[in-house]
Amino acid sequence: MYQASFDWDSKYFLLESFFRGAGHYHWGYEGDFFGLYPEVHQQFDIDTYNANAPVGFVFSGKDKIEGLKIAFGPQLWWGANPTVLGKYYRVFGDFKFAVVHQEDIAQQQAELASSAIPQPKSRKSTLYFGYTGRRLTFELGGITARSNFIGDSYEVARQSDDPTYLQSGYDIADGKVGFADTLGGKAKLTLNAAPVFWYIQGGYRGLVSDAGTDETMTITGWSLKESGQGNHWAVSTGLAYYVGKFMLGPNFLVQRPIEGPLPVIEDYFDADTGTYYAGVNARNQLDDPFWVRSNRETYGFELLLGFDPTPATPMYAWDNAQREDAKTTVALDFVYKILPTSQDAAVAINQDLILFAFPSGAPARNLWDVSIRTISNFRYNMRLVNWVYAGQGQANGDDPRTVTRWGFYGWYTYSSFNINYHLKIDDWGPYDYHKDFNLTFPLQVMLDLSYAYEPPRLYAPAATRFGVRGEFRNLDRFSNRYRFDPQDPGRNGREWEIKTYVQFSY
Amino acid sequence: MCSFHTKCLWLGAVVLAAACGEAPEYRFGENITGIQFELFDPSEGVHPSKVTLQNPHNPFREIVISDAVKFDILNNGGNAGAFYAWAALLATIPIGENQYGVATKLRDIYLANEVETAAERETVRLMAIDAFQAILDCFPDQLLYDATGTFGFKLATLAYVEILELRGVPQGDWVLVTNARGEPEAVRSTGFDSLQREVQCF
Repeated sequence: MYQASFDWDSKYFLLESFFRGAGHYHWGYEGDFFGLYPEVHQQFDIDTYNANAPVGFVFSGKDKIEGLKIAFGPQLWWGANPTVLGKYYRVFGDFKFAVVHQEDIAQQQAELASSAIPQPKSRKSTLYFGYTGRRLTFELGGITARSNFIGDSYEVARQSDDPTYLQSGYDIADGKVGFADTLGGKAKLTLNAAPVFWYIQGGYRGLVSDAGTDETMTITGWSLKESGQGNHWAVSTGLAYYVGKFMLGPNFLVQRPIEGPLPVIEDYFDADTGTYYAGVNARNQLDDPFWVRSNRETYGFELLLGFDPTPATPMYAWDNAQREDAKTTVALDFVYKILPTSQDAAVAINQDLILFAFPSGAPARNLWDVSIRTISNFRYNMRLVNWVYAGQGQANGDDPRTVTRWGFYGWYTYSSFNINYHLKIDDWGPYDYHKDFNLTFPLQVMLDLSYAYEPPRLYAPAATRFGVRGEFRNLDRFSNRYRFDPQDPGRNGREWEIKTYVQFSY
Repeated sequence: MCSFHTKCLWLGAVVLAAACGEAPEYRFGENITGIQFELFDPSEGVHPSKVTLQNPHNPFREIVISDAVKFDILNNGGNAGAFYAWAALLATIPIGENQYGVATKLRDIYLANEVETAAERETVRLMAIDAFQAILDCFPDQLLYDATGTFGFKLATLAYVEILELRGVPQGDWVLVTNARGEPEAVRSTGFDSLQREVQCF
């Protein structure tokens, strides 16, 4: 079965169910201030890995239990533990209030994708208060998460100029998770003084007060946001200024972990004194109560520039690529991140499908990214959505090589005719393990021409269509399956494929 | 008399202090040559038991020991210290080499009489025999390489001889024969892997 769903809409409640398919939206705009219940619109990735997610139910109360929602299921989002999520959200005039609790029932096993490795089984609770005035919106929230980790031991490292542990430059200390480490808080102030919009947000998260990423849109489509992980404090602020059809939006983020990543220190035994000095390895999510990954020290700057003649279809709405009705829109996003420290280790899946942690993380490095998205409506039934991108990135694993990549990709439709394409230079391959192990290709090209039974929609999970697809890529020493040719040392390998296909959707 | 607000402040301070928990303690090296062996479980250090990882007396139960250091500990870490180190290694990396290291340290603890009572000493002797027997049962074809990593000793032969020296009887169909080089070698008399008695290796 590819997908299934049923709804039960009664006078007192709405019960929705889902198995794969179109996915579901998050609860970020209805009191889930810490992103416990994420959005799922990952059909392409879920199909790629043949995963059976999402699967679950959402109960929404009506009448006297209006505002109550309960989501439960074996995998509410890809990589979720079997869990029950309850939320009560009410609006009283200008004030809003919500309480959310998540209780994991069991530990989910990892499947094939390292991007969907389940988090450790835990429980989380959040409180939210909001006030919306004429121009100002103020939001305040608190969280306690992973109380089941209290008492677990962890290691921390402190840089020092005095004599240090094994002359590493660090003092090493052992601690235990306490109740205070499960706590966190966040406050956000948003000003709507059109054409000027401004927000400032600050938060503190205890060592294990992990939650989800913020999937809401604040003012405009900034991508630079504080991490959803615990173990950090962060302050961010952004300003959007609209001048006619143009929008200018600078955004800043300062984020620091409370306990930084661990250095790698080899163990040592002093036979003269009989003293053993234990080694130190980077933390990871399999062995440690917390770890430094997305919550690494970051000083980020982002600049959004937008051109949108028809603000009725907001250019940063999640479905804008499908709904945009302007002749042309342009959105430029530039991000620069100063990352002065390394990270703890990522977890990945090896070729024997065994979950493992890398020994360390990618090193400290400053990174930049720029992307330009254009939407062109040539005619009422002819549209081109195109992205051009360039930038730098680091592997998920411990490979120190920084990848500088660029390319473009897009989607063109003319009535029922459809073209998908991409051209990528020095970029990672399509699977998770390419980024885990830093496997890149000098050139990747794809062109897909298809004709659909009805005009295809960008976010439709599947459509009845037939088509032809061609793919080509070059391989070099950074690519998997590359074979060095001693007769011609500089020669790149190549792979290509052309296929025709028919896809049915009932 | 304290006012209500003062009581609330005190209560808040107590709750806050409890919430913050203990501050991390700085780590220094640990002297392992002075560790005394304490009997925890007769299966400790005998594959497939991982009970040593629950032994609060084992300082290595949450530590990953590197290959570069483990032989230093085996040779100079004291019998009990080396036993705990190699038992933790065996529990996390179950290979014949690690089982052999644990078995030799149990043997050394027994021979050096590093236990408190005669009864405990007898238990350690039996644990050492079980540890060597685990090599015959679970790692019969594995080799122990010398320091250069080139010449391998068959672990089964070493274990077989050790069991005899500990006044034990090797279990299974193992016999000691003289091989083509004129050296003693432990081999299975039937040539079959299956054993008559029940052996758990996983």
